[in-house]
This record gives sequence, structure tokens and C-alpha cells, in this order.
Amino acid sequence: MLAIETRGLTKQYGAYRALDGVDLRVPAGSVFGFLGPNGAGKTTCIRVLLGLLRASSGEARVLGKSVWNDGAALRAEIGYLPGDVRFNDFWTGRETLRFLDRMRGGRSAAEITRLAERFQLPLEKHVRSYSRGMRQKLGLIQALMHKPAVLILDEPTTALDPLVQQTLFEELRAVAADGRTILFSSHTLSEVDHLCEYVAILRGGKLIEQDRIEALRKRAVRNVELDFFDEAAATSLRWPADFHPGVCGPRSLIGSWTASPQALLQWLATLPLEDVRISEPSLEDLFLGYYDLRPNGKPAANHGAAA
Amino acid sequence: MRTTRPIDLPPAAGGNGISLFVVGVLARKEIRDALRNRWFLLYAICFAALSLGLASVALAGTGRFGVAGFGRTAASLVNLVLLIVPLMGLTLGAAALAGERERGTLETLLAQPIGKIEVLLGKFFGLGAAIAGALAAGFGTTALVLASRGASANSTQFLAIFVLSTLLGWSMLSIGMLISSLVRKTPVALGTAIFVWLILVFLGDLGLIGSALALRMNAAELLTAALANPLQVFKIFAISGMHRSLDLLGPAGLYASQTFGAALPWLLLGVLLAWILAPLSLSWLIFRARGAK
Repeated sequence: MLAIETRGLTKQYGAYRALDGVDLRVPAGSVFGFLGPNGAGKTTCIRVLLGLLRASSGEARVLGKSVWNDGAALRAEIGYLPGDVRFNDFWTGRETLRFLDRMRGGRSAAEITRLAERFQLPLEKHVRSYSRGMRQKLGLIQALMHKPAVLILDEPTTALDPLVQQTLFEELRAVAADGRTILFSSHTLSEVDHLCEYVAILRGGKLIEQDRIEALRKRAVRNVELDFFDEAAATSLRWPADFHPGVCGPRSLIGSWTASPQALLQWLATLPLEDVRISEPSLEDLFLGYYDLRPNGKPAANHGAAA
Repeated sequence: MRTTRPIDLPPAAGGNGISLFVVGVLARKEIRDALRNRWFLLYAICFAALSLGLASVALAGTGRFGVAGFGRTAASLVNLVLLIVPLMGLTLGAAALAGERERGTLETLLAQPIGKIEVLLGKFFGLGAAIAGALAAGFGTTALVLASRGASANSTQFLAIFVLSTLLGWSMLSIGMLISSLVRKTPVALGTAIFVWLILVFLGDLGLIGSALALRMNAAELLTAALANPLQVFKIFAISGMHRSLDLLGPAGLYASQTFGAALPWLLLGVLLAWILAPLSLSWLIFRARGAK
């Protein structure tokens, strides 16, 4: 069952297309990473999912309900942390949470207290005296306090120190263990890699990939490091088209392999190698591959397989 | 340490209809915000101080207390209301949505299980109550001073001017909210509101006289043009209440008295209510389409 589903979702601002036919499928109960650089359309997509923006065309459903027609009812089931969360400066943290809680039925007092203790947020202070990190904590508490079925977090670790980030990850793991769904947008790929089971990558308003992270890794290229017995072997090396050489040393060669592991092993067996290291790409390698942004500037081998 | 006050409320949030509870929560927030708004407090204090000043002048002019205190003060207050109340309503309304949009708090608000209509109504009722409260404080203080000096005649007139002032304030609030739904930045919204205030207050009379001369308007056309300005509607309403005859307003007033007779107050009330409902409805349509952007 899908917790979030969009079909051909498009958002147009004049000639500019912020979202271009996005088909997002977020399984219920999953922790779903939503990746893309600034301006890729993540926040626009999230705003459409919350019914804050109306899509130019296409359809978006959350928990089976139309985000536009059932917006208010649906938002009762959603916890949302905006990318740049803002609150009324004149209120205390407690007044802010009480106000937001009252609009949700006023049933979260105990959870507010628990979360404030977990995140060590002084609720009696005015929001204007809060640091950026404390405001972020307040935003997280308001998103989590009503135990939503779907949690949408836009850059949740922004301004949080590493200790609080760990607390947040523990809370999110508890949410996931409870069978609730988390859509998690982030620029920090290591935390997505660490937390998420699924990932979607958005580029220029288009969804270019979505799958389990493991499946992406399996489909993706391998990083291969070859050490030869002598320089002659290294310099006279002929490689198949599926090998894309990168950094070369006198007796070594580093590159990427885009075909099957069996074909790689067959080729390696023919080489006079002293040592070989084959590694799976990190999520960062995958992401940068999709964007062709790796430091050595090698082009992505093909769609769906980062080089 | 303070503890969380038990909340004994609603099942209603999250439905697709209008939840009066949510509107109430939002209205209370607006009242609190208005009480922290320095400009609003300044207008309210100025209004109360000037009302008291006018009452003192009115009482002194009668030569003896208790005869015409309320009536004279009410007549003087009409001009004060025409200056201050529109400014109060327009600026409060103009900052309502644009301010939250600019500060980024509107997105957090709209991400809650509430509809845009509830946000708009909550803001209107909250700010409307704040305006009514400020006017009640000004009129109330003045009434207390008048009563303490023995004035009692024409107190109904005084009360009627208060009610009309409140309706005028709400119509200006509604126009201010329309401005607020159209622009993104608070300074632009406030600038536009002050420009509208200038047009309504200062250019209203001059424009009407100029148009009447240039276009050779007849009495009916002049009255129609006057009703297009809520300030003129308030003025006609207030003067008709105090004098029973609109001779003071010239041919248009005479035409109104003779044509509509006893139905005139109802017509004026209808026009004033239309000036509340029409801009508010328009701002709802715009806000629904634009949302937090």
C-alpha cells in the first residue's frame, strides 16, 4: 500500500516548470529519502503534497485522499516541518505548541512534554530568544506531537548539533517502528543513507530515480581499484567498454565498472594483478552520479547507474 | 514551572467544513497579536484621547452640563471617526496576511488541519473584535466622563455612532484584508492601505464635488457616487441619525430623504454591510488561490 502517490504531478510558474510529471510512490510504513539539490523541486513537491500549493496538472494522494480536495482533513494525519520553519516571536515555545495543538484537537499535551524533554527545549522562553537550533527543535516537536500517520520533514537536521541529531534519528526510528511513514528531504546524504530504506532523486523538477537504496546500489556501477605487479602491465592494459578508468598511478588504476559482477570477475581473472579492491558506491556516489557532479568529473554511465 | 492548562476542546479540527472552534482559536490569536501591535495601540490611545478632548469641548460649549453633552460629542466624533477608524481598519487588515506571509509563519499555519476560509475568518473576527474593543474603550471612556458630569440626553445617538463606527472599522478592515491578500510584502501592503485611506478620506469629498461639477450629475447620480465610498455612507448614516433630515448634505441628501424615507437607514446599513462582505469575499477567493505564496 502506498502512503503517498503522485501521478504526472506538474507545477508550472509561467514558463518555468518547477515539477514536471512527477510519479512519486512512497510505500506505507517506509522511511523515504527525498533527494535533490537546491531548486530541484523538492519543496514545491512537498507543498503540493500538503495542499498548500495547487498542482498545474496531475494528481497527488496521501493516505488515499486527494491532497487538494481533502486538504484540511488530510493535514490532521500529517506532521510537517518546513525547510525554514518560523513562529510568532512574541510567544513562548509552550504558547506556540499549545496554539498549534488546539487546532489539532488539543490532545498532545503529554507528548509535547515528553518531546520537549527529549530535545531539551525550554518551553517557557520566548521564541524570539531561541537560537536557530532551538527553533528547529520547536518545529520538530510541532511536527511529531500529534503522532501523525505521515511525517514530512524538509531538511530536519538543519542547525541541530550532532547530539540532537542522534535524538532525532532515534525518534524517527521509533516512528518507523510504529508503522508510520516518513518522507525525509535532506542534503546530508550520509543521514539519508543511514536512516532511509527508499530514496527518490529529483532533478530539474523531474523524478529521475526512486527505489530501495540497496536496489540502486545493486544496479549501480562498482568502484574498482587495481594494483599491478609492474608498470608495464599497467601501461599496456586494454580494458573493455564497461570499464571507465579514472585515476592512474604508475602501477595502479582506479575506475568504475558498469556491467555485471560476473563479467568483471572474468576480466579481472585475465589480468596480472597484485591486488584488487571492489566496492559498492555510497549514496553520495549514486547521487553525484545522477547529477554528474563527482570530483573527477566523469560522466554518468547511464540512467539508473551512477558512474 | 508552569504546567500545561488542560484543554477541554474540540473534535472539529480537520474537517472540510468551517470549524467555529478553529475560527475562535485563530481569532483569539489575532486579538493577542493586535494588543502587541504598537500602531494599533497608538491609534486606540489617540482615538480615546481625542474623544475625551472633543467631549470636554462639547461640554464647555453648552455652558451647562447635562443637556446636550452626548449629542454634541457624537456630532464631533463623526469627523474624528472618519479620520482615525479607516486608518486603523485598513492598516490592521493590510498587515494581516501579508505580515504572516512575509514572516514565513503563514506556511506553518496553513500546514495545520484547517482551511484557508477558517484562517481568513479567524483573522477577520479577531481583528474586528480588536477594533470594536478599541472603539468601545474610546467611546466608553468618553461616555463615562460625560455621565460623570451629569450628561444624559441623546445617549442613544452616542451609542448609534459607536455601532456605526464599528461597522465602518470592519468595512475598512475588510478592504485592508483584500489588499493583504494581493501583496506579498508588509511595507507594500501598508503603503497601499495608506494610499487608499488618503483617497477615501481626503479625495472622497473633493472627488465627489469635482465629479458632480464636471459631469453635471443629478441628485440621484450624486447619491450613487457617495454610496460608493463607505466613509460617505457612514457620514450620511450618522448625520441622518442625528438630524432626521439630510439638508446638511445638500441635493443628494434631500434626494435620499425624499426617495427612500424611512427605508434609508436600511439601505445605508445594507451598503455598509456590503462594504464588509464584498472585499472579504474577494480576499477569500484570492487567498484560496494563492495560499502561503
